[in-house]
Amino acid sequence: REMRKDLAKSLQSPCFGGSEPGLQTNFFSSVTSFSFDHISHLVTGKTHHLLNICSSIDTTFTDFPLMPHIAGCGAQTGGRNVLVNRHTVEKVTLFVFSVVKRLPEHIQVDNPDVLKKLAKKLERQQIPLRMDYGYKVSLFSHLHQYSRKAPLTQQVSIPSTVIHPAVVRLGLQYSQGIVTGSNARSVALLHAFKQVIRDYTTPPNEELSRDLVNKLKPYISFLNQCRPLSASMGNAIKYIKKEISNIPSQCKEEEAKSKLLNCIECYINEKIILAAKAIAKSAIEKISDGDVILIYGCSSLVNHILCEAFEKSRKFRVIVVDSRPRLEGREALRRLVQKGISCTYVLISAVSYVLPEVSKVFLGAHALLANGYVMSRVGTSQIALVAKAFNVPVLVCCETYKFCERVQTDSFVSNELDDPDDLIVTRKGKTHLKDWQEVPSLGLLNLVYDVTPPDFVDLVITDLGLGMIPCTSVPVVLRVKNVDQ
Amino acid sequence: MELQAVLMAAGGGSRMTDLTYNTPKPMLPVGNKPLMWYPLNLLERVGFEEVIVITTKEVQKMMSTDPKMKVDVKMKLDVVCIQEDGDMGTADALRHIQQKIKTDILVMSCDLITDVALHEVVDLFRAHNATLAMLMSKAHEFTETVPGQKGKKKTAEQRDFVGVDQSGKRLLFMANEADLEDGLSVRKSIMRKHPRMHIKTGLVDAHLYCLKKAVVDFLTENKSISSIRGELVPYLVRKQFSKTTDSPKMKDDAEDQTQKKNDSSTNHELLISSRDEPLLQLAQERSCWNDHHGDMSEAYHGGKLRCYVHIMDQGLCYRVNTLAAFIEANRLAPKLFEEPAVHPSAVISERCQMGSDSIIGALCQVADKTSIKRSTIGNSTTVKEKVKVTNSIIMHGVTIEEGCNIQGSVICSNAVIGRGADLKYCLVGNGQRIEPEERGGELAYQTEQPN
Repeated sequence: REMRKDLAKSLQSPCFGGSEPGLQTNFFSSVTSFSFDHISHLVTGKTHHLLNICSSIDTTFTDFPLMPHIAGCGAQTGGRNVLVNRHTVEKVTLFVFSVVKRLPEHIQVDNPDVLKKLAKKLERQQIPLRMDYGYKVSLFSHLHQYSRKAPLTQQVSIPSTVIHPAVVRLGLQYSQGIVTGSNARSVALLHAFKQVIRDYTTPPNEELSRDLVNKLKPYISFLNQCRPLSASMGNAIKYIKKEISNIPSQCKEEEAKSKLLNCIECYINEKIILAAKAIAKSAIEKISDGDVILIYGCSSLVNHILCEAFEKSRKFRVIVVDSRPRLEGREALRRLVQKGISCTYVLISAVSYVLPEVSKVFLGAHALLANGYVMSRVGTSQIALVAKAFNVPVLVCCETYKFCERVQTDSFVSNELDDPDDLIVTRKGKTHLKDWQEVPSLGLLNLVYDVTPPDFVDLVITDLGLGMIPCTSVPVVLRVKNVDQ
Repeated sequence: MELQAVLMAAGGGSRMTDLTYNTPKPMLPVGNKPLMWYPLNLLERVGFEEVIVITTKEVQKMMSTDPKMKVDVKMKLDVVCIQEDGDMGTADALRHIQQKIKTDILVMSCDLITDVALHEVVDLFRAHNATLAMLMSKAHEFTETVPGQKGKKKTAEQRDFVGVDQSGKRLLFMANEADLEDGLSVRKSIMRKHPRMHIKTGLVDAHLYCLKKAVVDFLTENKSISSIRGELVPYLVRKQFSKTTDSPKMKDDAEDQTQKKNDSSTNHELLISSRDEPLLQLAQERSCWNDHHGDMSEAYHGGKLRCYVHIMDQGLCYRVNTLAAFIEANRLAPKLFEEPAVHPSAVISERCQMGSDSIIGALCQVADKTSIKRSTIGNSTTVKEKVKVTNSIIMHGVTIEEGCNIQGSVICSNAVIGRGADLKYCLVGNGQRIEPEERGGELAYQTEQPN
């Protein structure tokens, strides 16, 4: 009911054209017990307008994404404001079938009610609550900020009985940064889930398809507490949950388990390993002899592409751009130099100095959002911006399983705050920021992600279709992907 | 199940025979609780629900009659008895219970008193998929005078050299001074991989180890290793950097037989693996993390065997294996538990001066005009009038007659101190009788030990 009220309110707003005469807005909403990812078709009287309502869990009411692919009108929007040409649309009927949750709790940390709800949920699942650490910069006070020195395992019993040991190990590796990188985190997650499934036995009077999903929920909360889930992990979890719920009830346990393990293997093989091969194949076409390629940070996919290109005897050299505090570029540098590729290493402050020499920029992505924005390591949007200023083509490489239905237009609304103590560095025996907490007007901010607008990205290389798509075609890929599923 | 706890409580206490020839070391009272209670309490606080206790029949009997053990320890104790006089080392004991061990183990010694946050050690074990994770602590000098040591010079303890990497967590090198003949030699393979190594002495090994199950399987194959601390740990630390063979090469030479044996034993440890080794490999390849920087190798230098150590610099960590440690532990153990210093069933007369840092056990009777400062009085002890007890440890069932002055001493169970005795820094053994008006300074009163 509340959802309907809100939807009605937003539909009345002028940007919806709701108050315009001649435009009837009816909607019918029903909440069912399971969520669809893709819903609805809006059919109007005279002309057919397809309005896709992507109602994934991440969608909020304030950025309720309506992406009208208005056939014939050529207009494409994404994000908040929807301009509906009131002359062609006579009746808009919206069918909303889903549980559209409100703002996710991990970006509402400054709201005490949300925190209380989170605490209650964790208590129910017997997962400890991780406390926030340190002063948060006011612009980002709605996000969690944890300290690496206070791991969640402090509050978990040894040996862990509530949480499967493989999941505890994984959570620890996430929070300490031993497993970083979108692909690595997903693979490690699926590996842990394989162990969970192997050790799982169906309790009597329960069905595997329902009970196993409930078993996984506290583990996912635990991992979320250790480090916020990435978009790729979210998609992987959705896939597994779907596979588990699709297991027929008459299936025997052993069979079901081996089927699930097989599914996981296939998923990793298709979406990560083979996708990387396909993307490398497309990307190598774009690398010509004599190229100077600029990369940023350490993206496993971009490194793979460059190594493959080098093996195929393309002559190029690489400029690795790096930034504090993570300094991930060192790892990328090591892998490329080990292969034999000639590299240059600069910090991000020197990017405008080296860009005149660069012929292409290859960037990796953490996720590709539904409005074409690229979410990646903080600093990527800077590189893209400067590259645009120098007219250097920017190519983003991203597998399709990282495409996410969320919509974001800035880096503030949803991000991750890393441990602020990482910014403290000791030089010549002096640690200037050691007592930063005592200075009341000082806040340390260690952002992890930022979003790059699609205007700065020239090409997205992915493993679906022809391989190379413009940034704005991401919603199409999402639609095709979901239709397939 | 993630970890099984194993408590080694069969040690003899060879460095404090004065105290242990009548009471086995695990049952020595520290702060009026048996020594064994402390590691068991640590395990219980952290969340363990069952512990395998390896001990002798004598201790098992004492455990079942001791009220403290029954009430305070709620975990399930699986007691395994071994022969007391058999020459069983700690590793031999592990081999003995090999059938019971189903997962990775946490081995503790019964004489460890510590308030370490155990998750620090276990997290190293989990996060890095380590084969061994252990606990060490900065050693504290014992400042109290040790009673009963008149004329005995303190034997210089053999130093332990521990080498850690820059982060202070990875254990690179471990050797005892006794094993080093003409100097400390460090292998080149270690220096190549870890050019900066910090070598520390003055660390106390807490004898708390997290070991992978594969190590226990390895022990069953290699019966030559008998002590965890003395042989197994240095072996594992050395093996981190030895050349590993992925496939056992068939060598026909007789000389290479020992090499082959070494290789096969290495392979056993390398067979530690989850069934999804390729997935883990993939995750590690794709992850942009490395534990070291500056050379061309991947994380952990590609080594599968890793040993980690957590070095505590703050907090309590004592191994009660010498008399000095025993006294220090008695002084500090009350900080570890919250029971009131004076047991409710003790009868203390009103004109007694008791310092706040003293502990009085159950069913004690303390008469008038006594002064008890910085001392521990055991259960069922009787202290008569005008007695002054300072800085001492009085165990259970002791009777102290009037007018005694006891300073800095250790009085073992069931002893009787005659009237007017004046004991300074003395050690009185079990059941001894001190004559009235005895004047003792730095003496040990014992019956002759049967040889």
